[in-house]
This record gives sequence, structure tokens and C-alpha cells, in this order.
Amino acid sequence: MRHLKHRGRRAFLLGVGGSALALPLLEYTHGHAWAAASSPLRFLTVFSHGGTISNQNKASRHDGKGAHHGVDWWRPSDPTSESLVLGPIHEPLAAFVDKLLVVDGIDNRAAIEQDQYGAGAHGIANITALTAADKHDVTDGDDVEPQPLGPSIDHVVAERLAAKQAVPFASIHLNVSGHQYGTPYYRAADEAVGGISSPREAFETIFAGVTGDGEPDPATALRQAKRSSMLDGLLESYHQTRDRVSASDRQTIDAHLEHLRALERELVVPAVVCSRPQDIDIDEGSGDVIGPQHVKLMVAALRCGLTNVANLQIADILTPWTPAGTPVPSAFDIGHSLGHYARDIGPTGEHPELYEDWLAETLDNRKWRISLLAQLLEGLDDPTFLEGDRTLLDNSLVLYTSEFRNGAVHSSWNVPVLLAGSAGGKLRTGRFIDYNAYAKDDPQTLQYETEQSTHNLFTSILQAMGESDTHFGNQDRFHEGPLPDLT
Amino acid sequence: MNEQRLMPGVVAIALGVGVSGCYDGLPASGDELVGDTDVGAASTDDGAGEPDSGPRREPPETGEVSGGSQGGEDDTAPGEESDSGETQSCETGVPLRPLHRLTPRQYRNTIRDLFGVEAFDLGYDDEAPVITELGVRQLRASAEDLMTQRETWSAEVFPCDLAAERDDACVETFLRGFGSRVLRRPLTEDEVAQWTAVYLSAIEAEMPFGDAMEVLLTTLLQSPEFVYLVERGIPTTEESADVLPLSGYEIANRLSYLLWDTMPDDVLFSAAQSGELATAEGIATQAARMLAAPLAEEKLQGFFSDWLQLDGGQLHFSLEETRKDEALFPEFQPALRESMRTELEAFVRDIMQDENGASFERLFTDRSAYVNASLAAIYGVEGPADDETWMWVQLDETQRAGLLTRAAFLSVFATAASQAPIRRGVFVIEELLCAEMPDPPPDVNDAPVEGGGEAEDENGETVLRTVREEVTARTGDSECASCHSLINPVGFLFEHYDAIGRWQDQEVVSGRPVDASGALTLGDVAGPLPNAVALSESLATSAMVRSCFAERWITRAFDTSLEELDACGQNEPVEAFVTTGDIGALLTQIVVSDAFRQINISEVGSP
Repeated sequence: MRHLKHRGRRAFLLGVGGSALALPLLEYTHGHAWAAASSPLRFLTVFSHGGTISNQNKASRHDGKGAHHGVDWWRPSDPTSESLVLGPIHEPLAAFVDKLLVVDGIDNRAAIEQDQYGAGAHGIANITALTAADKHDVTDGDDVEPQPLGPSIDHVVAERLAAKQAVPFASIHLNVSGHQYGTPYYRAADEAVGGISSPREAFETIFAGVTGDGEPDPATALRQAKRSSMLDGLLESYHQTRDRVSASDRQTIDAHLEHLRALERELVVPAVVCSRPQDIDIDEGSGDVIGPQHVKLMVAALRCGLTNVANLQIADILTPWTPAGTPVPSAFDIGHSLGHYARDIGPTGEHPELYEDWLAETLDNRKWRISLLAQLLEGLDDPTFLEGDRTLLDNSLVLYTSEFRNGAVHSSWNVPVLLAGSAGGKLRTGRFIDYNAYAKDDPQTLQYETEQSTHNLFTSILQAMGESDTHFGNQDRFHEGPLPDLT
Repeated sequence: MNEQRLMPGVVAIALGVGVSGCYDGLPASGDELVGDTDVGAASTDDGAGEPDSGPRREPPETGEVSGGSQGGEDDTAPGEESDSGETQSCETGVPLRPLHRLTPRQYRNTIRDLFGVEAFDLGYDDEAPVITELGVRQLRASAEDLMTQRETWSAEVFPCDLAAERDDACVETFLRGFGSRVLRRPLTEDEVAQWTAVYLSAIEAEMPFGDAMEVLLTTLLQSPEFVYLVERGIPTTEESADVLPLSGYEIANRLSYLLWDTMPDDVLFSAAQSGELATAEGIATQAARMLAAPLAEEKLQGFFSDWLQLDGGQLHFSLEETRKDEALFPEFQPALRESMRTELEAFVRDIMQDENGASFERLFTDRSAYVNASLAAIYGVEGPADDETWMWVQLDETQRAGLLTRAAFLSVFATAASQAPIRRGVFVIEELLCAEMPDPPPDVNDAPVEGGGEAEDENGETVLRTVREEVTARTGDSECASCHSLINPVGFLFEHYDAIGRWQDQEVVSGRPVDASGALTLGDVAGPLPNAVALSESLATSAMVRSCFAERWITRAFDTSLEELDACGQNEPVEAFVTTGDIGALLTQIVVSDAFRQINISEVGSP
């Protein structure tokens, strides 16, 4: 029985070894059938921990006359303009303004409703940021921590796209690592996705077996054959173990089996023929070294059809290499301490003398993170790499967000949402959308009320990817369905 | 990467939510801490003219707060719903133990001992509760990498010449020999056939013999019986048995991973084979041997390092990474940090290896210290002439006692310039008394308090405020007081130790005299105290502290909490330890307990 089940795959592999796909050898050419067909869709996330520069409180805004600062530099400089006018943090994205959407007025209701302080503690904000899921508390050794009861949007999109556009890796996760209070990426309930911090390691994993010249590489063919035999044996033995353990342990084994099947997928999908990018060879270093390497890898992986979904996670790091440097003393040298000063540097705060320095430092810090997004968009929007008459960016949807608006008060209201790309022309880009009910009459209002939540954002994303879901996430939403007015 | 550690380049674990409010009233001796808590309101407004117009949440109903459990008192009868809402299978007296996956360290050590290689970094670092896809990849990559380093193996792995033509007989020899060491127990006939089929599938794919054998070995190294501690127990003919005795090999595995973080050695395998591990005496004999062996040292030091959070915690860096003000503490260089670590490890080792028994009390009260010149200076005692020379000294008994007054601990629980009474207080309450504290409101000012702020005294003169005064000012609000009235008096007991653990009569930053009076505000030995030395002596006698310490070990032994064991009536090791304070006896009692020797199979095979 076992042999019959897997014989087909082994025969297929031998076939691949013997007859590599005959495609013209262009730089980063596609190795997949679907590339020649209608535009494939991609989804990307860039998750920047620690919030942004905003005076958003909870359901109101600080006026800057109290202890808290009063500026919001995430918002467009001219919120009333028909076309998008980028705010200070988004300056590095100027070249792509027509392909962007800045969207205000989206709440992370799953965090707000499930947090004991009604704000969004670190743990809850992180686990709900991309899942909008119910949470439960899980004991791990001596600790108790909240975990989501559902997957994050990137995982769901990855599975849906992989069913339509076969790829060796359903998604990739890369980290610019440092301090952060959790991760927003979840494969399933309780199962966080760690991601890879070393660009070199990620490159070797993702581009393993990718050859640039179409000639079957005997070493690769042997390795694939070995892995095929390994997987046969492992799938069988994990299945057997599954039957011998308790119900809760079965989930542990099932997760392991799921991952083995993901490894199997790489063996089944046709080998990719694509030029391997050069110089992704650094293991560790500061963010300004690691970040660009990750971006380069993401662009290459998407162009080569190695994945449909790419995720970049930026920890709440300090950025001493930026022009403003790090003049503000921060406890433990972590970015979150820098964020917390925001509630102490207004005129009546504890440290009014730090205001100018703080503004300069956080602005450069957030702009640096956005500059990674800019590099990503530049790679995706390359006019020399078209799919039909669209760039990769046009066929993608990129979500840049954070678990907080204002990191100092842990505001899960009005979370920062920046979208890039139009998912194949579906979104109307180059605009600012503000769902705050009070903003219509007074764009500079300090009052805030909305009826949109991340549930709707994620539903919009699924629909942009060609899916017909009408809801994503738990029941803490205002309404079901997509965000209004995006398309 | 351990997710709990706050280190550059490492993901920190999400902070738990915890119960709102703090304890209301102190528990009487012997009672569990009662969760009749004050409900803390959310901190909101920050100044005039900025009302919070958002909906205010009602804090949740509070239930029992987990505390250092005493005796067998537990309101959850066996079989009933527990606080977590999940039914515990406890009519049997043996808790369900979750399937254990080898930790990265255990994996590394196991490979080291299997292949006789240096414990080089194989790249497997997954510590998530459930293995991630990355972890599964790493297991494969590690096994594949290992195959490329055959010349470094000192163990005999393959019993035949891999360059030979196909030699099917070798496969069975290999499986029953090295293969059984990989899986850490003898294989059944069926298993030999099953694994042989993996080899055969590789042969069928037209691989050379050597490659097919490598495929077999790498598959074994990723299989569930290697990566996890899969336990089945000794089968019985009784159909409805919920509990089975573990086999000798299964007990050997539990013992070696608990005490040594690696696979069993040959002596332990023999003990399994001969039936020695079927008796409590046999297990106790092996446990004693193992505790005395060098491999136990790393595990024990790791436990104490974890317990004291010297490798970092959610809110502080490790001893090696913590930042100190260079102007104030120029001596706090890497060499000194290393010396502090050495001193602490020597202290722990000395206590654990005491012929008269490893005394828990001594951990808190012993004044002996292993020091070099720099450490002697830190402690203000006569010592060796240089930093390469080490000797045992007695510390001043009015200034120092055990672990809580040693430089490593004090340095980690401090800021760059000053002592950190809140963190030291929370440590004592949470880690030594096992009394869980709720989180502070998310938007509190958590910038470090370092003293030195200016204030006016009663004469209108400008004075610099002490750390104690600044902490009191920051946490004096009524909503803060519910927790800080418990935390602060404990933390202030440590005021005489500066940011690198030196004794101070005047504070480094403010220059003002130190006031270290305070109290132990919770637990069975609660009461006012003059300083941390008195605190240490109190804690040494506390039943609650001993019970908490035992709980930490039991959690490691069973991957479960004391509450689960309590409900199953498995509290004998804890009760005995409370009386004797003998750490070695505690560990021995744990490994000879029913819960350690049996497996609960009531949920196996059920949907």
C-alpha cells in the first residue's frame, strides 16, 4: 500500500531529473505553467513592531497640551486631498504614491474586546494583529500567555493561493530580529510561525535546488530522491505514532505531519529554473545590513515563483545608523522604551526637554522601516520584469501594519494600515481613506469613532486574492464583509 | 533561541495577561493564597482636556489565583472540572503528561553522545510548544549535515562497509545495533521490517548502497521515537486499564533527560535491560549515580540559572548583556560578569555536592563565597591577590547571606545605575513564593527609577531623592497601591545593594543614606524585616518557598503543573521536601513516585 502511494511521486521526480523544463533562460524567469497564463496574485506583509508616531489615544486623540505628544505623522500631510499626499513617515515611498492606499479608522477589535484593560496589552495585540481571533490563555512551563485560536491572514492567503498557483513554499517569513513582545504570524491556533533571521540561511532554504541553467543537477536529483524516501518513512511512522498517543498529543503529531507535507510539496512541484540572486550571504548583523538582504530575497523568491506570499517582520529595534541617531536614553536599549517616552514628553509630562530629540529619533526610526518597504516596492515594481503589461507590484497586495497605533498607550484603535499594489487592478490606489466618522466634518478632529475593524480589512484582502469569503476572524467585529470603498 | 530571554536579536515572549487587581489581605499560614482580589480599574486619563471617550471595560471576574499550593488541599476533586475548565484525568493518580519533544540542548547532547562528536551547533533551535515548520526543516538539515561529517564520528555507527555492493544483511544488524541506540530502546520485529522498508525504497530509487544506508539513518534521526519521548507503557491484558507501568527503557529515558538532558548511558541501558528500573530502589540507585555525575552539573546549574533569571527575563537582560553606567561602575567589565557567574555556580555546586545532603536552607543562609580579587572587593572582604586566584571566604554575616545577596543576582535585578526594588520584590513574590502577580496597566511609566531627582526637603532645601522615595512616589496612587503595597516593602529590603551588588550605606546616585526596612508581605513567614539578610533567613524556613521550589522541579519533571499533580494526590515529594529541605532527596522522590513510573493512557485512542 505504502509503495503504491508513493511510487507515482518517485517516478515523477525521475522524470524531472531527466527532462528539465525547457524555458528561455531569462534573468529570474518563471518556472511554472501558471506564469504564462493570467496574472498570478501575490500577497506580502511587512509588520513593524511597536506602533507609529501618532497622538491616537484610545478612542480619542491627545491634543499635545498634556503629558503626551500631539502629532500624528502617519497620516497624510493633507488628508483632504483627492490624491494621496504622503505624511512625513511615508516620504521614502514618494515614487510609488499612485500605487498606495493609506487607510485610517480600522480598529483591532479582537484586541480591544479581549484585553482586561480594554487597550491591547502586548501579548493580545500581537496575537490578534493579523488573526482577529479569539484568544485563550495557555500555560507553558511557569508562564501563562494568551494565544490565538485561529491563523493569521497571511497563512490563509498562502494556502488559498497555493491551491491555485502551485509553489514549493506556500509562504516565507523573514525577520529583522530584535526585541518584540510576540509575533503576529500564526499557522493555526497556538502555533506561532518563527521566521528566519539569517538571510543566508533563508536563501539556502528557499533557493535550494534552484538551478540557473536548466541542466539537471545530479547532486540535487540525488538529494531529492533521498528526501523522498525519507519522507515516505517519516509520514508512515508519524501516522503510526498518531494512533498511539492521547487526543491532545495527537495535535502535536498532526502539526508535525502538516509540516512534513509542506516539505513533501517542495518535492512534488516542478523544479524551478531561475537565476539565483547573488550576495545574499549574511547571517547576522544590524538591521540596516539584514533588512535589505531580506528584501532582495523576497523579491527574488516571488519573481522565481518559489512562493506566493512573503512576510517581513521588523522587531522594535533602535536605529543608530539613521541621521538623527539615538539621542534619547531608552531603558534596556529597546525600541519599546523609546515608544513609551511619547507619553512623557508633552508640556506637562516628565520629560518635556526630550521632545525635539524624541521626534527626530522616532521619525528617522520609522522612516528607516518604511525605507525597507520602499526597497521592496522598487523590486516589485521593476518595469523590466513585467507579467503581461503589469509589474509584480500591480499583481500583488502589500500590507504594512503594526500591532499598535500609539505604542506608548498600546492603542489598538486606528491601527496603521498602508496598502501597496492593486492585486491585479482590483484596488483603487493613490488615495487616503479615513473611516473615522468625525473626520468628514473636521479632518483634524481629536474625536474618533469608526465602524471598521481588521476583520473587514482581512476580508477585503481575501476577496482581492480572488476568494469569496464574506468574513475573517472572530465575532468582535462591527459588521461582516469587506472594507467599503477600497475597490 | 530561548524565547523568554530578553537579548539582542532574540524574540521576547508575549507578556501574560494575568488577573486584574492584586491580593486583598494576606493568607494565613497553611492556607492557599485566596483570589479575593481588588479589581483594578484601567488607567486612562492623562491630563486635563483629554477625556477618554472610549468604552470602559468591566474587568473580568476574578477566580482563584494560583499560588504555592499546600498539602493536599485543593477544591478540585479528582475527575472534576479544574479552574482551567478542562477535566483532569485523575482518578488514576497519574496525570496526563504531554508528549515531550527534545529541546535544542537535549537534541544537541543526544547527537553528541550517539555519534561521539563535539556538540557543534547543528542549527536546531526550535523551542515552541508545538514544532514549527522551520523546526522540521532544521531537523532534516541537521541530519543531512551530520552525514557529511562522518570523519568526526568517534562512535561506531555502520557495521559494514558503505562502499560495498548492496548488503541487505547489514541493515538488520545496523537497526538492532546503532538503530536501537537512536530510538533508545530495542526494536520489535515489525519495527525492523518497517525501517528496512525505508532502506529498500532508497535502493529501489537506484541509490548506491551507502546512500541508502544514509537515508535510513537520517530518517531515524527525524522519526518520532527520536525527536519525542514517545511512551506506551508495558501492555496489560486488562482491557480497561487507565494506567500502565512504564518500561525500563522508558524510565531510563525519563531519568536521563530530566537529570542529564541527554540519552541514557550504557549503564542506564543495562539497568533498563536487567529489570533494575522496575523497582523504586533500582531507580533511586541510578538517580544517585546520575546526580553525582558531571552531566548533572550542567542541568542543575541551568535550573538555578533559570530560577534566578540570570540568563535574562521578560524585563531584564542576562548577566552577560546587562548594561551598567560606565562612569559609575567602570569595573563591571566582561571579566567581572564572568567571575560573578563562576562564584554563583561554585556556590550552587558546593551545596548540591554536600555529603550530608543538598540543603535548600543553605542556598539562602550560607555565607561562604568562592571569590577572586575583584569579587572580594565587591563583597568588601579580604581575598586573593589577583583575578586568576580563587579561594573560599566567609562573607560578613550582617551584610550577606545566600543567593539573594550575591552579586550575580543583584546585578541582573538592577538598572544601569541603581538597585531595582520593584523587580527584586516581584521576583521574591513570583519566583520564591509562586504567587502570581497581575500585569501592570499597559500605559504605566516603566522608565527605570534611578534616584537623584531633585526635591525639596522640609526646610525648603534641595535634596536628591533616593530610589526608595522615587519608587514610592511613582507607585503611590490608589490604583497602583493594591499591588505595590505588597511588592515595594519586599523590594526595599534589598536597598543596601547597588547596581552591581556592592553594599552601600549611602546611595551611589543620590548620596543619601539607605533605608532598607521593609517586610515580607505575603506567605507563611510574612512580617516586618530590617533587610535582605533577615529576609533570606526567613525565606529559608518558609514552607511556601520550599513548596514553590519543589513545584518548579516537578513542572520540569512532568511538563505539567503542581496543581495537576495535587489533584492526583501526588504531593508526597513536596511534603517531604517541605520538612527536610533536602534537594537531592526531592529529586529522588520525584523519580520514584508513581507519576514518574507510570503512564496514564486513558485518552490514548479516544477521539
